[in-house]
Amino acid sequence: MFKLLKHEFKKRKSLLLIALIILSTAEILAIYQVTKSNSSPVFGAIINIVMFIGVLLIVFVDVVVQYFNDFKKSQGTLLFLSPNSGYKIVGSKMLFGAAELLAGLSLALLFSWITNSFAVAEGYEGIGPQIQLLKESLNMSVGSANTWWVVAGFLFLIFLQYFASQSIAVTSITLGRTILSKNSYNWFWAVLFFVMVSIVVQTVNGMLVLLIGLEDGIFSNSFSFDSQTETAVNFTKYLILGGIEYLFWIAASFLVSGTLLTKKVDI
Amino acid sequence: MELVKTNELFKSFGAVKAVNDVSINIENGKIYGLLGPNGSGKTTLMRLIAGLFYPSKGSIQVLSENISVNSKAHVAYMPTEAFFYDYMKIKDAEKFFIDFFEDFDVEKFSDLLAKMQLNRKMKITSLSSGMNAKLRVALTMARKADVYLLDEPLNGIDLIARDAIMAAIIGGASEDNAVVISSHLIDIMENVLDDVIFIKEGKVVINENAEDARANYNKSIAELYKEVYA
Repeated sequence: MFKLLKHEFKKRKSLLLIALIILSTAEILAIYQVTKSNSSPVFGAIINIVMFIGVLLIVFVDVVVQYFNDFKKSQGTLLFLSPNSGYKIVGSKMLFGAAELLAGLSLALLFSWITNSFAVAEGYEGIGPQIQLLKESLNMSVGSANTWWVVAGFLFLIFLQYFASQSIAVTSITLGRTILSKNSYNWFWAVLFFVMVSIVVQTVNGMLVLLIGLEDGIFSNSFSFDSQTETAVNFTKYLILGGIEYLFWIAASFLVSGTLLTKKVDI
Repeated sequence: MELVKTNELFKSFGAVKAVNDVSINIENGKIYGLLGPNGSGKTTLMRLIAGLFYPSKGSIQVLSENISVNSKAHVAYMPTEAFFYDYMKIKDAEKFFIDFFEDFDVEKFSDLLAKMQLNRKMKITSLSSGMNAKLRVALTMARKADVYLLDEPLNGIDLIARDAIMAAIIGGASEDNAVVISSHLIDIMENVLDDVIFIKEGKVVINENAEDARANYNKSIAELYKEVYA
């Protein structure tokens, strides 16, 4: 698996370098906007927000395009000729996508922190007061002891959700390739599969929320000790069930893609 | 010893039967010519044995075991088209083979590179089609595989490069392995083939020892080819 991951990295070396240069240039621009006189730090903040969205989009497109090209272009022959099972090949692609996502988001976070530090040094408030406000709201909703757990859990759930979407996209390509191997429109069927499966995932997610009795939402309107405990329990339930659901979709995507690649897909 | 055995093998793409009821045995110590014009099913048959295509019906055994991921470790397949990633220099392709094929022999590869007048620093996308073919042959023949499947290794290759490629192929053939070469350039191939398999519209029409075929039909293999596919 490590060798396959290494190969995935080598394939993207130039592309990742270009992405790093673009993000770094955007960060320099953000710092410039924050530090130049007669300018609002809002521009810097907007650049950082665009950076986060860009990372999410770029990683998704990269995972999908690289996998699709391994079928469409003759170069895929080299990979599929190697004595690696379909599970290993698809596993390496999914894992690399997750690593790429983590690295990209970490970099965007680091750049946002740097921009914020420059803004504070320039005498602006920076993002600190907003974070403080969010912290106080969460303290009231779930209790101060649970605030960081809720934030960490929520971020983890978003990561899993995004990773599940990537995995489903990979499986959709595999399905398109399996069912319509020689059809030049198999990309269209892959998109259709992706939309259909995504709808199923969202529907199941909605049903789970109902199943654990959260039809009125996770957060309580009152801020008593009891309601804080109730909200924290509700959130934990949602986090566990949501986590299990997304892990299920990731595992199912891996198994379906791996099995089809090993037994059905013509290269 | 049977290295590859196919039994009533079929492969269809929609209504097209690319491989139609093919039962052949590939034995060690022989060079096979898989002969037929474009679209006759040679590449499909090779990709089936290489584990890149899955049979619609029938079975393939490599070293007496049903084809699987493991059989890819015993079969060295060279496709007719360039199959390298854009980022690759020759040294990157070599590293890929070292990483994934335990039977890859670096010394043999170095020797073949020297004979083919290629060097590791060359970027693959800048190679001519002839140089690319030589590289593909060098990488494939540098493996110590049981079965070599070479799909049109001489396609679009000039005379000088042909000699280098043929020398590499013949040099890699031994009593322990089998080499299957698909081609429609029969004149060049004829003298090196031990057995010939003629394939027409997915079906095997002649499968015998090359010497016997010449004696039985009283024709050279090239003449026989013209007669079968005329």
